[in-house]
Amino acid sequence: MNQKSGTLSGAVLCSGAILAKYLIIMPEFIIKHSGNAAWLDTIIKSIIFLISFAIVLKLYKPFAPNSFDSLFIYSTKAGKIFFNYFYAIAFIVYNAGLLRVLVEALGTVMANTAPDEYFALFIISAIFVSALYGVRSTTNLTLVFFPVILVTLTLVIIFLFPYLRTQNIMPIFGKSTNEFIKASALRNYGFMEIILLFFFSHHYPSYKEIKKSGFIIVGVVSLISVIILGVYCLCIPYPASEKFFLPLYQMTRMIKASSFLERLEPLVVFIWTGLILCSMSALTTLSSRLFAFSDNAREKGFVPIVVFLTFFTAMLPDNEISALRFYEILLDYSYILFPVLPIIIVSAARIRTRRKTV
Amino acid sequence: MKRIIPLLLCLSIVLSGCYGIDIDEQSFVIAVGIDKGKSYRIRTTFVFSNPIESGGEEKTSTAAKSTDIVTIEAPSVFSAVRKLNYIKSKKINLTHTKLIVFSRELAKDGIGEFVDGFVSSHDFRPNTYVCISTNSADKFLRSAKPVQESFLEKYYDHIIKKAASDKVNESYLYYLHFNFSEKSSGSLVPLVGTNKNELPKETDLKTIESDDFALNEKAGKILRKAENKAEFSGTAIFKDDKMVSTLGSFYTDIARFIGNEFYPASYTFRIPSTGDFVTVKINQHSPPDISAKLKNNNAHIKIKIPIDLEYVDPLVVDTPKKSKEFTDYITSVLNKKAKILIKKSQEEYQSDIFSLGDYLKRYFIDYKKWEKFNWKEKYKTAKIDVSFKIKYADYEEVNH
Amino acid sequence: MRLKNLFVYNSNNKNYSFNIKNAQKSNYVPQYNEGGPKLSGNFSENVKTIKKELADGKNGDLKSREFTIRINERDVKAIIFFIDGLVNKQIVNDFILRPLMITSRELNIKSFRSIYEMLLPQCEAKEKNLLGSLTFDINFGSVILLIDGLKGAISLDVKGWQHRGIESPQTERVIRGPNDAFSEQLRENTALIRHLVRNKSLISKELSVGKISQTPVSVMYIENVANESLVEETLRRVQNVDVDYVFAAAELEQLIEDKTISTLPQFLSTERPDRAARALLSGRVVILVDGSPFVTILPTTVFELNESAEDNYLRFPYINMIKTVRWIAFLFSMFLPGLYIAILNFHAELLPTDILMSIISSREKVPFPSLAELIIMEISLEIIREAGVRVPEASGTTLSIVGALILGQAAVSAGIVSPILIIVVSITAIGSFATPNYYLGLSARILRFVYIFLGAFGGFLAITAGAFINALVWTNTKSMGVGMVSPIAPLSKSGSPYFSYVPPIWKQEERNDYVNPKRKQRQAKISRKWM
Repeated sequence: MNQKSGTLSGAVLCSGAILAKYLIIMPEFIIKHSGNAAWLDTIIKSIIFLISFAIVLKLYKPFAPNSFDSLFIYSTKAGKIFFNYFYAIAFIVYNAGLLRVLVEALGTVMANTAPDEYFALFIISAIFVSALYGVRSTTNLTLVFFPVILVTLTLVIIFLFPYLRTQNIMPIFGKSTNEFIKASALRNYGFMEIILLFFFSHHYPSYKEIKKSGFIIVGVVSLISVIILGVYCLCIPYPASEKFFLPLYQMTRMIKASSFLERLEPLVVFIWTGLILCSMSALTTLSSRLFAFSDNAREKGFVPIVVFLTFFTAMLPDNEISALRFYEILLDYSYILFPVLPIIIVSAARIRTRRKTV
Repeated sequence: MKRIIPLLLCLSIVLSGCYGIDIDEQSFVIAVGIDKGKSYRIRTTFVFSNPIESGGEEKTSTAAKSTDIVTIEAPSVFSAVRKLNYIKSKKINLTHTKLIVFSRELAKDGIGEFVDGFVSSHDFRPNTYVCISTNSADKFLRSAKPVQESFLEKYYDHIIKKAASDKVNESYLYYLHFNFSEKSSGSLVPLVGTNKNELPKETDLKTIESDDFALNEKAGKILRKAENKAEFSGTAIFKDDKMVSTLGSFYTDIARFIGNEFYPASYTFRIPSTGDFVTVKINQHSPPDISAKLKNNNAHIKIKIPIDLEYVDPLVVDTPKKSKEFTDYITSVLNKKAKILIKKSQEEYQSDIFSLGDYLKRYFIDYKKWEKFNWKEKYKTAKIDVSFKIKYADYEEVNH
Repeated sequence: MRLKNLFVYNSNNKNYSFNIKNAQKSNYVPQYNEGGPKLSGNFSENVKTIKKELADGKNGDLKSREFTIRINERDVKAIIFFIDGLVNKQIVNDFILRPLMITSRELNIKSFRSIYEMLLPQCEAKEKNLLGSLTFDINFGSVILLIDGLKGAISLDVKGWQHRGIESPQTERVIRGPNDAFSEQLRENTALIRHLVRNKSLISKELSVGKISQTPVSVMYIENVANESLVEETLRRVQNVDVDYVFAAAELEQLIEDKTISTLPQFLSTERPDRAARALLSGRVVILVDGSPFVTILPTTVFELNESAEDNYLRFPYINMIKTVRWIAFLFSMFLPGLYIAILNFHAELLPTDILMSIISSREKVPFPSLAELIIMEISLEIIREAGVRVPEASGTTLSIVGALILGQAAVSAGIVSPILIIVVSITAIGSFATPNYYLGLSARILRFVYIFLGAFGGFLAITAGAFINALVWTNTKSMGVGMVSPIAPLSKSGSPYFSYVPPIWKQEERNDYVNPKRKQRQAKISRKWM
């Protein structure tokens, strides 16, 4: 209704999409490479994220608020098909990876003998319905879930206060300095969901709002991810923290509040699942939109296909370990989706316009 | 079409089956005891809470009837759980386990494998309490018969809450898992045991004049008579994941002072010069002040423990002179004992049971350097000063 | 059929969607209490001015009557204005119109002065010249008399709104606050609202719905507050209802709502004039239907549905506590049985051991699986509740004793259900009674069964997925262009709406942003000027 709140809702959608994976798996990957300096690693990653976002935004400025798929490369048929399909398939694969990891995680939490497909079916049906409603409703949903997640996260952190020990983060560069530098600069970006902002930018009135929204995303994501990893590093000493599957859940399990409260952690995990569902349905919507070449009428038609492909791809890895490995490899290459390809798209468009004016 | 697809999905979910297991189709283990086995590697004891007897409307039975104890020999705990399914009619659920007891013999061989397995299996909750039994774990679990609580699980809950009120005795699964995987620091695990439950019949002239610190009782050795034979006292010292020795109650309290907060308790000292028995309430009001420095690749650690003393019977210390004398004596005893403990940990146990290494980590840039420094070896030669600082002893109050 | 169409299903984008457009800001103070421009000497001009001021034509309950008076053997034109329902028509007929129209001819009046002195047997009659005070009077139940040649107008106090038919509300009782309720008469109801609003910019548009029944319907709004596109849309929808008959507001609501399949009620209905007046002043539109003691307020949000009429009369600390309790009750009534069954089947870890053991021991004798047990209990509860509505009041207590006590006790001792389950079911039932809006309570009752099945089939995961879809439907449901979860999703300007938290009254400065009112500011930035 007013533009201020529109900016904020877009920011919440994207930051929710990025942060969703931090709630289940991301801390484990970061810890794996940089040990107990994961919080420092996340700070560096946030800085890289900020810089790359600023570059893309600066290049994108003259075309605002047109969405990416209306830029130059998309005017040629080959470019259009390549970029659309590349992004669409990439997001399907990412979604599938996250879905599989989530399924494995929930199987662990529920300690149940049900097959993975059984859990995945619930998740996929929720995503399917949500994607049918379109991106606006996903945004609305994220607006409902995000504050709840923040509240539960804050509560968990408050209850974890007695377990935080500053000695735990002490060899400050973690595992080994070389590996830390390498890992913090090169590994596990996982910020590719910010692409949502550029593909749905036509919902914004002008460049100013996009810029504002983008910087809110960068800020929120950096802050929350650093807090999550900081708490994790402070809570769990290094060599043990490396092997913890589902870090946040394990941390929540450590809390001993009272005989009633200390067992509530599955509830917390399933509240967090809400945000992951939001994130996944946003990406599903984007994928089907890209498949339909931004045709609003046909966009919804592709949702069943995208959902089916996601489900199919998610069930490809054999077991828990290979599923985790699969998702980790995907994250390692996520820098292609952001910032590499966006920079190519935007700078090509800039060169084109400059030539035209000359 | 838009409505049919979700409907089909819902139907497929419903038709694909129901994986829930009702709670009355499960039996819940509340304690596990692990001993060395005779024909298989280990002998595992499972304590079940028996819901028919406990809770509900008919409260006729005692706690003894409300439990079911099964002992199985198997190569591992989880294979014992599998075997348990042949014995028990219901599905076994381990998530409500409160206590895991290892026998002393098994602990000497190492329990790291069990602890890591329990943590990564997700079947046990990470805050399950771990204890070492002075006699066999099986015997201890069978001897624990709560008198005040009607249910065994409540007895465990209460006793764990009491035992784990400070950092030293915080021997939860996850905590041990952290310590075992860290490799550089040792751990302290509470001792449990079964008492003979009889008071001495003859006067022992050797110990009749002893005070609290001289007795230094371990679990199973407390002189008492009570209905419940199970008891908690003292700690087991672990080097890596192997038990090396045990500490009595007094040394455990000293370790508590160094570890972190100590809960207020009363101790009786015998002042040798006068022969008086003085009871004093000791309270540690803040965590110990530990400063660690690295000089010439060798650690210098200073530990200052601030404590309050409060004489329970002020009439004994009626003059300031006496009060000062007593206070000095008590401080010297504490200092001496703390030094002995530190020295023992360096030479005899060779295990950094107070996690002093944590204070040194900040001098290293990364974990590789810290590992290279080899604290485990360096701890033996580290210079450690420990002193008690009496913040406030109330002689003035006594005076007036 | 082409292959492409086999996989790609075509969505029909025929869904009608309406959004409230941005309002033109109106800084116009809707009322000058005792001021405003003066009336001129010209009669026809004055009539025109007053008609314009009181929005004649738009306003259905503004009535006028033209007649002539004989003064000095000459017929002089005169007109009276009054608002139907606010004045006592008997008095107007007998003591205003009769003297002026008939007695003036018998008495042979000489001057205007003598009209005032002889023909108007009213204890309160004042000559007034200012437009503002005239409109104020007319909204307060006065009759305005204009006579050709007379400078200014005469305001006659003939207040007489209906007192007798008004009873205290049946469903929305309050402890502090007024206790009158709407009745079945449309005119009385509009008068009740006008009596509270007392403002000339309150428009009551008269329509009729139903080809055969021709039921009078009144759409009320405040012209300087309500968004014009909202008013237009409401009028358009009501006018375009093509049915033979409509008897109640509840029927009309169903004919103009966006989503009929959603369990969520999309309009707020009330039987309290104070609540309707408050809604009008905050920029809503109110629909009154003749023959229905409930009026419809639109648009509304989920948070408003969970408000009770009492909320505005309670002090700031109490109301927030009560609201929190109400939300907990609502969530319980929706989720508790589902969570219970999910915990029992999938998350036994979650319960403290003592509670777990007592649940197991209480379930030991029950032959059914927990799902069947819960369904049996829930269905019998619904039957008891449905029966409770229908039984005569005298035997109501018997039913509740039989239903609640004997049946429950017998079921437990017969081993059909466990006592813990009885507690769960009764907390759920009480929770749904604590929900102020009847429809919202019903909605929770339906969804409860969905969550029970989801909990039984997939534990918390299925409940999360269900809640996710539920939230999706709720956020997508619109009430006259306003999202039902509005201050949160879609996000509306923070500050004014406070989705569930109520700020102290001096801080409630703005009207809800999501209804896009013409007048944003509700009270001055510093409303307590005495500080």
